[in-house]
Amino acid sequence: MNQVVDTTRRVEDVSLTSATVAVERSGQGPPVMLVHGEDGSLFLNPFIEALGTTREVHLINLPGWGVTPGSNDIEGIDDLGLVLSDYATSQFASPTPVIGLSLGAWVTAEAAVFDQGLFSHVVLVSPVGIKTTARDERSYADIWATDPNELRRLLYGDPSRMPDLSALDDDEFLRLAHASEAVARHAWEPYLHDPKLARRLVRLTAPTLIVTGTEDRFVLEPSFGERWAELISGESRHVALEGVGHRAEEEAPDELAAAIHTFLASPPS
Amino acid sequence: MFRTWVFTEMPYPFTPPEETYESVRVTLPSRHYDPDTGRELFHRYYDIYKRADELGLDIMVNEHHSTATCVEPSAPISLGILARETKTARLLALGNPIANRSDPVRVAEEMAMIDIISGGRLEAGLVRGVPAEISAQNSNPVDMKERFWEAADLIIRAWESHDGPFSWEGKYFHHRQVNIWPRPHQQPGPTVWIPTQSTSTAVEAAERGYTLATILNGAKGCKKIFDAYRERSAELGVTPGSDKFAYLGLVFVGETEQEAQAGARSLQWYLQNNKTADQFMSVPGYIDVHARASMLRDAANGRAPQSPLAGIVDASVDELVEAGLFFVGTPDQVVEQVTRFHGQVGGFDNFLAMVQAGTMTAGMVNRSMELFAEEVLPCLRRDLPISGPALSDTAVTTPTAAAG
Repeated sequence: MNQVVDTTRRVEDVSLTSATVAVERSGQGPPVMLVHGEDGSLFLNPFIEALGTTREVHLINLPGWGVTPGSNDIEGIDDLGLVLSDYATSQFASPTPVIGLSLGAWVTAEAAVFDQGLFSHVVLVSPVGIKTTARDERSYADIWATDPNELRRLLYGDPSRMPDLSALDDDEFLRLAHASEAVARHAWEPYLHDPKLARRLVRLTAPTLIVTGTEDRFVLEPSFGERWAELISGESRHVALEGVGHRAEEEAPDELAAAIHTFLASPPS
Repeated sequence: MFRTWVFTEMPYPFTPPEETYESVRVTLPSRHYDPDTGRELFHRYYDIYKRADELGLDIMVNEHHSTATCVEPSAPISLGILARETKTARLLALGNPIANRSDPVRVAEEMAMIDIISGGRLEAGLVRGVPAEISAQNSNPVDMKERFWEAADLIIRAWESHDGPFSWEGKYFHHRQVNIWPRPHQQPGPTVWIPTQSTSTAVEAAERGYTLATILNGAKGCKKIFDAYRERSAELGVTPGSDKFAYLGLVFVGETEQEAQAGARSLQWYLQNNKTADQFMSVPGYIDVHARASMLRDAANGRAPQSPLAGIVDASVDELVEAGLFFVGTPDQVVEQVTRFHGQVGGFDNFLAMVQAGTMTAGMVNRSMELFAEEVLPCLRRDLPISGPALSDTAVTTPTAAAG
C-alpha cells in the first residue's frame, strides 16, 4: 500500500476473505496495524493521535464490536486472528508492525503463531490469552461476576483516568454493549485464554515488545509480562509502565506511543 | 380440563440480613446453609406435594442453582421422588434448563425414567433459565437460544427414536450413538412446555406446538405472550386448545379474608428476598444488545437498573391481586379472581399456583390447598370455558411392540 501523507482520519470498509472490516486510517509515516481490546475503539483517540505523529495507523475494528457488524463465520479468537492475517497479507507487500491491546494482543498472538512471516514487529500491550496458573487460580478477574465499578477499579491504575461513561451518546453505549457481547462470545470458555497458545508462543519469532502496567489488577497471573517474554522465542523486550493499570493505552497514551516508537525504530540486535 | 399445578421454589429462608451480602444468587456463601435445617425443609416441601396429590391437584417443580431462593438444583431428582410418592398428580418440570446442561441426551434419559416410574404422568418443561444461572453452569449467554433449540430438538428426537441409534453432530452437541433406555411411557413423548416472558419465544413455541407458560406477568403481559402464540398458530392454520396455555401466580386461600391476607403476606417473601447483583442480571448476550445499551447508559448516569420484580416488591397485597400476580382471599374471592384473569387473557387450562414461600409451613400451605381443591377448583372446572383438546386425564398408552 502507498504511504498516505494526509492526517485525516477516515473509516473504510475493507473486504477480506474472512470478513469485511471497518478500518480507520490516520496519521503519517510508515504503517502500523492496531488491534483494539475489550471495549473496542471507543476510548483510543488520544493513543491513536500520539501514534499518528510518526506512523500511519490502521485501526482494525474487529467484527462484532459494533463498528464492524458481527458474522456467523466469526466464532472465536482464531477467526479474529484470521481476519487480522487477511488484512496484513492483503494490504501490505511486506511484513508490517502490529500493536495489540489486551484481547487484541491475544488476537495478534494467535495470528502470529500461525503465520510467522506476517509481522515485522509485534507489540503486545497488557496481553491476555494465556493461562499459566493452577486450575483453581484465576488468571484474570471475572468480568461477568464483578461489580462494574469494582471492575473499573481493577482495570485502571488511577481512577481519575477512567473514561467518563456518562459523556457517551446512545450510539457509543450501543457500541459498548456490542463490545461486551463480543467479548462474551469469544472469551467465555476457556475464560480469556486459549489453552494451546502458551506453548505455541515459541512460534512467535518476530521482534516483540511486551508492555504492562505496574498497577494492573485485572491480570492476576504473576509477572505476566516476563512470562510472555519468556514464552516468545523471538527477540522480546518487556517494558512496565509505572503507575499504570491494564488500560495502558488510555492511562498513558503518550508514554506508550513513545515506547512503541523507540521499539519500532530500533534495529534488530 | 382446567388444572392447578402446585408449586414451591423450595427456598432456604434463613439467610443473613440483606445488607450483609452482595447477592443472594451466585455468590452467597453456602456456610449460611444448615444441612439439618435443609433436610427438614426438603421433607416439608415433599410433604406439601404429597398432600397436593391426595387433594387431586397437580404438581410443578423447577430448579435453580447457587441460590437460597430456590434450593432445588435438580428438578429430575425431585420428580424421581414424587414419581413414587404420588399416585395421580401430573408432574411438571418447569423445567430443565437445557441451554445450561452439557448433555441433552442425559436430560432425555432422566425425563424418560420419571415418565416410566410415574406411569406416564410427566410433563417436560424445557427452559432457557434466568441470567443469574449462567454462572452456575459456565454456559455462554451469547448463543443460548440457539443452543436451547438444538438441545430441545435432540431431546425430542431421543424420545421418539425407538429403532436403534441415531447420530447427532450439531453446532453444540455431538453424539454418535443415541439410543436411550428407557424410552418414555407416553408416546411419542411427554408434552413439552416452554415458559417465557418474551413474545419471540412464544412464537417459536407456537411453531412447534408446545405448551406455553408465562410467569407473574399480570393480565396485560400474559395476554401479550398468549396472543403472540395464538397469532403465530393462526398463521400456521392451527387453533391451539386452551390446554396449550399456562399462567403462574401466587395463591393463598383462607377461611376468612383475614386469614388469607396473613397467608399473602407470607407469600410476599418471594418478591422481597431476591437481592441479585447487577452483574448477574445485566448479562451480555442474554439481554438484547439495545436493551443492554440502555442499561449501561442508566448505570453510567447513576440510575439503578430495573429488576424484573421492581415495582411489585413494595406493592400491597391488594395491588398484587389487582395486578393479577396474587390470587388471594376466601374461596369465593379466589374463584372470582381467577375467573376474571382467565377472561382477560383469553383463557388457559393450566393455573400454576405458587402456594409456598419463605418460612410458610406445610400446615399453613396444606390448609390453603385443601380450600382450593375442595371449594375453588370444582367451580373453576365447572364454569371456565375450555377449548380444543384438553390434556389427557390418564395420558397412559399401552406400550406395544409396534409402538412408536
